[in-house]
Amino acid sequence: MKKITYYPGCTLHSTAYEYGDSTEAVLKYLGIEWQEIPDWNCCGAASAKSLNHKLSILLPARNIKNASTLNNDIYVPCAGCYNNMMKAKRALENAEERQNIEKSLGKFESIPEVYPLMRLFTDKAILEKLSQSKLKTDVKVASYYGCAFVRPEEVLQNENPEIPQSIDNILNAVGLETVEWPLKSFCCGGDLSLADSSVVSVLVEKIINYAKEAGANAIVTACPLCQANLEMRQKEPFPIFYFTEILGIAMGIDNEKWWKKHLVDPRDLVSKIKGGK
Amino acid sequence: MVKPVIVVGSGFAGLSCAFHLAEAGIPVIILEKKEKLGGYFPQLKKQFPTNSCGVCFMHPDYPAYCPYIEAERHENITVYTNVSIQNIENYQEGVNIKFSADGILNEIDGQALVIATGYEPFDISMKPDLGGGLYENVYPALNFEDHIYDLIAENKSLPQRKIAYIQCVGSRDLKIKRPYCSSFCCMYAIKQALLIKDFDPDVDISIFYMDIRSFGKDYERYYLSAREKGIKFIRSAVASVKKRPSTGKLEVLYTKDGSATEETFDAVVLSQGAVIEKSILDLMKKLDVEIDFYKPKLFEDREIKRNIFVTGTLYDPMDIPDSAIDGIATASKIISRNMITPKILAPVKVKTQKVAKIGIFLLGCDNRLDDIVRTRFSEALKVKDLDEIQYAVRENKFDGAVIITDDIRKTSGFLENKNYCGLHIDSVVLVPSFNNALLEEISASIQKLRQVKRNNHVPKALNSKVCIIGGGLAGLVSAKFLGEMGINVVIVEKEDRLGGRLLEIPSRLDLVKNYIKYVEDNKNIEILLNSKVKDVEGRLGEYILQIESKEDVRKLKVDALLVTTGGIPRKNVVVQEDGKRVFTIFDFENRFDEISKSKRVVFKQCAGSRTEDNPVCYKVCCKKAVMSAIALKNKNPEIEIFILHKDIRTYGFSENLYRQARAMGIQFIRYSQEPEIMRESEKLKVKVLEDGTNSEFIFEPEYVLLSSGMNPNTEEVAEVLGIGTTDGFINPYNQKTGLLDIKNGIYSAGLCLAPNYTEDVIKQAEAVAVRIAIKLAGRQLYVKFNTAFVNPKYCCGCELCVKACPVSARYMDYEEKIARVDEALCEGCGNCAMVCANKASQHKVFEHKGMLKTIDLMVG
Amino acid sequence: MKISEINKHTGQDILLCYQCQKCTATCPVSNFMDIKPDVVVRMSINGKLDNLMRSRTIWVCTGCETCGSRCPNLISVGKINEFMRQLAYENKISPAVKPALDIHLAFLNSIKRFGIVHEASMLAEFKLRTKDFLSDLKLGLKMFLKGKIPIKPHTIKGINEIKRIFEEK
Repeated sequence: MKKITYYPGCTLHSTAYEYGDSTEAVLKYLGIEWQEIPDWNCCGAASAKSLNHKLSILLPARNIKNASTLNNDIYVPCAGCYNNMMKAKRALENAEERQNIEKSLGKFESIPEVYPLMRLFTDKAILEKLSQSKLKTDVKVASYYGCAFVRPEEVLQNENPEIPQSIDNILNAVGLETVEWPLKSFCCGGDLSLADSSVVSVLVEKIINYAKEAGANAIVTACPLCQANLEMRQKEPFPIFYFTEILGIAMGIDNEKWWKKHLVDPRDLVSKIKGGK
Repeated sequence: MVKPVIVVGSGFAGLSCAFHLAEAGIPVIILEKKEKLGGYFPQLKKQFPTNSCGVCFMHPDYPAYCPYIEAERHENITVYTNVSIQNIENYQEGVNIKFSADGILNEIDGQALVIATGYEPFDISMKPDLGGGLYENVYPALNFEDHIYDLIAENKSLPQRKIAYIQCVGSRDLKIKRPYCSSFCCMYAIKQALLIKDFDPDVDISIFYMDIRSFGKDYERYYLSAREKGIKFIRSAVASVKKRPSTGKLEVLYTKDGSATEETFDAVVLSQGAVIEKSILDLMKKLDVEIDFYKPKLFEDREIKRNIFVTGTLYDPMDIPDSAIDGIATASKIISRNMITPKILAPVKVKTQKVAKIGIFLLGCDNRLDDIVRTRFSEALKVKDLDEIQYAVRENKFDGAVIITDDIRKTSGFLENKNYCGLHIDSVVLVPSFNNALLEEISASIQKLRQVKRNNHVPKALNSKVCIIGGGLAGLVSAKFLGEMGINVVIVEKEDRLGGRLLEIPSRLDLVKNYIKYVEDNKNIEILLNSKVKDVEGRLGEYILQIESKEDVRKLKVDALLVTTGGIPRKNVVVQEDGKRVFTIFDFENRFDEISKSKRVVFKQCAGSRTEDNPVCYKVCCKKAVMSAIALKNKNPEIEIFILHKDIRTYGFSENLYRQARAMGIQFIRYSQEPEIMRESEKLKVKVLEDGTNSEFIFEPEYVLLSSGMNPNTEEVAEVLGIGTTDGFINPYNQKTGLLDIKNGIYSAGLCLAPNYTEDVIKQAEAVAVRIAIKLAGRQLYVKFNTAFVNPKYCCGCELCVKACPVSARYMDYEEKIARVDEALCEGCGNCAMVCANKASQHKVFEHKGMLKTIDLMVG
Repeated sequence: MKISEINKHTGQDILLCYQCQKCTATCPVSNFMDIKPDVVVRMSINGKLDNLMRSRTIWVCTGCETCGSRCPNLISVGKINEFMRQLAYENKISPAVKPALDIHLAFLNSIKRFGIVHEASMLAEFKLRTKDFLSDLKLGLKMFLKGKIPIKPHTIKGINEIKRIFEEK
């Protein structure tokens, strides 16, 4: 039984509730045991690093420290959290910076690995289990990665931001066809969501248009802010999913709760995806 | 026994080096990793700036066949293909190399090893942001070039109507760890664009660039001609190339007038840079040679280890002319450790008569062809090889032969001026078997043979004496080599001392003085100071010069001339130049201490150049300015330096110097409108509008240094010798590969030929000296069989043919009042025959009466 | 401020820029910026930090790092913008896009209070700061009705440690 440390981040229990719930459902179905980081705090999102560099490192560093007591790798579903955690991790890998961090937080006994949630599904055994639930449908989706999971490359060393594949691989494994399109990691506008939503509207319009042109019926993402922006600032109804929700459908464990949480009702498409099964 | 030289790689540099070594009598072994020779140049059917091929001029004795055939048939060259190198060891006297060729292991002990492995084109799939490897309408430039040639050959129009070229793909990019510049991509992109515009003028072409590096001889004019033909040059790096799902077209994202813009294209061509192949990097590691792409030079010297040389693009990314010269210069280093063992030719004497009995041979053709031929020519004989031909000739007493062959290499012996198979070269016609009109051609060949008059071939004697006009660095370097090879040299220098311009540059003084000392000590070299060549008559092997000095006038007979009259620093290029605060970069070294004490210095690049009335790039100023700025910053870290430029042309590995300069805080500001230099009371003020950002900069520097380049010193000598110039620079025979050859017997090197760095002037001088030495060392010139002749009965003495001859092989015999042909120089081009109204001038192989009969037979 | 300081804080060498303007093209929001990314670099080199701190640019920048992922000289303008935001805040310079600062302050205050973000109170503070109560009202209501904005805050146990982290300089 695989054991992981899980860092949901603030939104997965609130504005991205369906992401959190579907992630937990999928983990349970796959038989993966998880524990949340003990007493975890907000990673600082975009706000800490905009105003205070030290704060932007210490907040996620505290999470890493608390996680180190659990002795398992940390998996992070939220792109922003993952990005901040990796920045803190890189800082801890530098001797001088680690000293400074330990001055504030105390000694780190160990520094666990930090992975994006998608990395979990590259495990052979897990992939096998995934492919047992094959969807049979004509529905096509566009995988959307956003920025925080893939850039900056030197810090994250996750995947090539120009040609990311992880979400595509996961969806293909459960039999859902993903389209080739050029805006996989094109910024949605991030936290300009509230500061200046007109910018986000322009970017979101472009993203959804291209996804439609490529033949997609929906966009599938892994970032709570991207999902929110794409839902909130779109012009015509176009479903935006979290990849764990799609996995939930494939495994037959999807929950009406999730669809109710969406600002854009995806239920028609959900039945289409299921209908082919 | 002379140990062979091993040349690894058969591209331009490798083959140039091999040919010159082989012609000098040194055995050469060529190791080529691929199945065929040539590297990438066989794929490049048209090259810049001539938009034609011309590779044959690389051979020291042109016109030659295509280099890779020449390489295989040369008696001093042995070729191995499909080679994989196992081990290299160098020791005191030479190099030992173990390799496998076609699976068979070999070991060779040589006197030297030349590594000329060139480059691999950058793999564009490493640039998915530009669509590389993702979309089929994003092309690597090399593949697109093939595409263009196919379309030209089939006379079709380009299916894609709007194309974008993206420069610097795989170069100048720290992200992919390729910080250097590949030197030739700007030019080949312009070439491709011009080729397309030529055959399909309505195609819309945009070239996206950061700096256009058209620094070579006449390249700036080539670049301007591209602009004039409507090819758009857009100065912005491209952020991304994305395929629009709905249309399948490509969206190119770039900056226009300071803002992000997206434009749609049908196709995108990525100008791939030069990459060193992994196996070569491994080889260097094995040899303990450090490779660091971030250094200003990849190798300190061409001789990287004792007796092991690196040449061509591997040494530093370079284009075809430079690679050819680099290969020859490397050959010169090896030749000077040997001597030239020239070929001595015995005169060929034949009975002058027409061909009577002609044998028809089918050499290695298939049975079907045999049957076809035998239906018309029942006497045709089927043979396996040349020995069988020889036997048949003896048996049947043939004195002429038509040989039908499917592979010209089988008959390579016939391509030389030899008696072969008992036949004379004039009595053999080779007919390729893959021929739509095979039977007609055989009849025509028989007819041709019947009209041929065989001739004696007596080599022309030479004196082995060269006159070098100009005793600057280039002249001195060439003189040294020629003197070492035992060739007599006369240096004619107009000043009262040798050394030229470099005597004024403190850091080059030692270099020049060494050469002067050598030249003064060598007994083969005669020096005439305060002298000028006032008149020239004659041709290769028989030049008669009139040399004037203050004291006397004398006549000198030489075989060949080398023009190395050098350059003159351009001064007074801008109105505000006062020699005190605003002055040219030529005074930089002498005033270094003074300049380094100032607070702020401005360099103005392209001063008085790259303008409408002077479309010349002086090549060296960008790197020189960068190096000068770096020197200033090293001396005084607080000094502020601004370099105002139109493009920064630090090509090759000197791109790393450009980066070093930026890292030191030197700022580079691009301008298209002329910056203003003003004087307000005692202060200097420089105002410049930056391209792209449209920001205005105003500086108050202590000094303004003008990078102005060197003008060629050719006015007098060009007139005396009757040679053409462009922008004052001497026009070579072929700009691509015959860069150092001007006319048959006249050569040139150095700054009178094109703007150049000191290192490259030395390279050219060494290369030209090799070419001259090879020609003259044998003290005789070949006489070819397919030359022109004059029928004195019809010659009226109009001299048209003399003017028409491109190699000065024709001259007037004023006593007999007819034109004559110097068979040693005649290249058989037929120009003279074309201009002759009386048919007095004819070509031996294509005599007009017989040709008309032949054409009748061909047409049926 | 010395360039070496900017380089240290942003972890790169801004002097290496050769003005290829790739960053301005690649930035998804550059058309909304007053000072374009390539000019940001030039200004940083020439010490025009005040202009930068007062620009819209640094607040419009989303930190997407597309510039940094494509720059041939490994420069990320996003990192410069981030540093300028920090400097602007430290120097109490009024932001050209005030709501951007407002959201950050509201967000951080929420973390300071609870250790995690409590959207309801955070958004309330944001609205009070911006004094714009009407925008996204419908959207906010919709989200609230779907239970995406929980009313009850939750404070983490180690909240004192968080407060202490906030005090650190």
